[in-house]
Amino acid sequence: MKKEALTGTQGSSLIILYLTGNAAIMALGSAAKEDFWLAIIGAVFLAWIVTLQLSYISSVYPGKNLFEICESLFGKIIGKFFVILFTFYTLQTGGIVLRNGTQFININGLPNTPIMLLMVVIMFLTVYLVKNGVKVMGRWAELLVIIFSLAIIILIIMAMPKMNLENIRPFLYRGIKPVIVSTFYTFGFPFGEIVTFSLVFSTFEKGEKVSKIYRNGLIIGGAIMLATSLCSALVIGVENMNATYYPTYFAATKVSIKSFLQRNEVVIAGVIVIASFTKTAIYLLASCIGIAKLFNCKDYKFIVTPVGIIFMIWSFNLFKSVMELREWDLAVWKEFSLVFQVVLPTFIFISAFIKKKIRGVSI
Amino acid sequence: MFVLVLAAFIVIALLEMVPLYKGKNKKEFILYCSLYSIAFILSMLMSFGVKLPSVANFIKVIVMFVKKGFKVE
Repeated sequence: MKKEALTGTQGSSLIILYLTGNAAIMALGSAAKEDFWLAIIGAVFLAWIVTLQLSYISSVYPGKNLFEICESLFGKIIGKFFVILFTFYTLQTGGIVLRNGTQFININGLPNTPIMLLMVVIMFLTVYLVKNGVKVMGRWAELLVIIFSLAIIILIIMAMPKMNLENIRPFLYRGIKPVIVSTFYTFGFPFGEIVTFSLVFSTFEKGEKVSKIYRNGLIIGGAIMLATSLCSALVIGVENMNATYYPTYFAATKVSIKSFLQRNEVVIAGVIVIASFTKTAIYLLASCIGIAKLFNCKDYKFIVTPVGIIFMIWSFNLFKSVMELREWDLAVWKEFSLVFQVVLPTFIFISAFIKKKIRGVSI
Repeated sequence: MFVLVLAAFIVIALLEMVPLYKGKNKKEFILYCSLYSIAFILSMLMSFGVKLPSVANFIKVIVMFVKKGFKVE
């Protein structure tokens, strides 16, 4: 498969947008109530451990993505089975991301427009971005991450007069257990999803350390999500934050500077939709690479359009409403994500570690 | 609705399938045609108003089955 190298900044920017894509509008760590911020920090720490595993795996197999590593590590047959599993995961999770993003537009901006139409428009752009390759995606992320961060910083500065510190007190009132439970939920969405990144991006320019790229992306992405969640909680309160589907958007509606600067939520919605689109593109790219790998094809670009259409139909039929999506999330997501974000990467990590010990440095 | 879907698929086929066929890579062409056929059939079914099953429900059934096996609350 042809490889395109990313710079470190492009890699970190993609991770930031990928992590914050849908999560920046949602309530993270809601089970911990006032201590949600502890759950977010805990989830970043857990994700950091996963990225250490992923960095180790890519240091053992430099220049190879996780699909290729699975084949090298486990042989053709078992390797292909892993490829099928990860491709299924990317299609399913990517479908949820696309559904979430379009549902957000539908609920808040265009209530009379059919979701399918929104999906077609987003998928058209996604297919175009993926067809142009990883390098273009990296450049796009490098530019967008600045606009995204600026919009969030402006929101926080404007929201400062409306913030009330009492909203996140008392500290650890319900004990540590809800924080731990919530940490695992927050790890499952969105931090653990960083595994998908290793399925897609494997080649970086010379001198770039993979672990550093992951670490920078994770810390900045985590900081952005901590900031948006704190902003929402301080402005609208923890109860309101947990009761609404999109608390950051709701908090932004409350922010204004007299009558001079209003409707700040439109800017927030815009940047979040664009970040969500980037996340969808990464999932589509991963699905295409997985399918191409499954059939031993040298390139993935020629199948982007049909896979994009299947991806869109898959996503459209997943859930009928936002309530059904949330219900599924609560009932299934924790276990489903655990398999693909913790169990399989740890298994691959242990296998790579043992194989390296047995066969020496060159595998 | 289905006329629109059909028209879109004809345009995509002309733009993508023809160059792929001329490229003489048989394996890539077969893979493309297979995926394209799946996409086409699913799109046509949807345009006729057929309700397709959700993969999410399928996953839910499996997860609930495993949870029951391990007796996870």
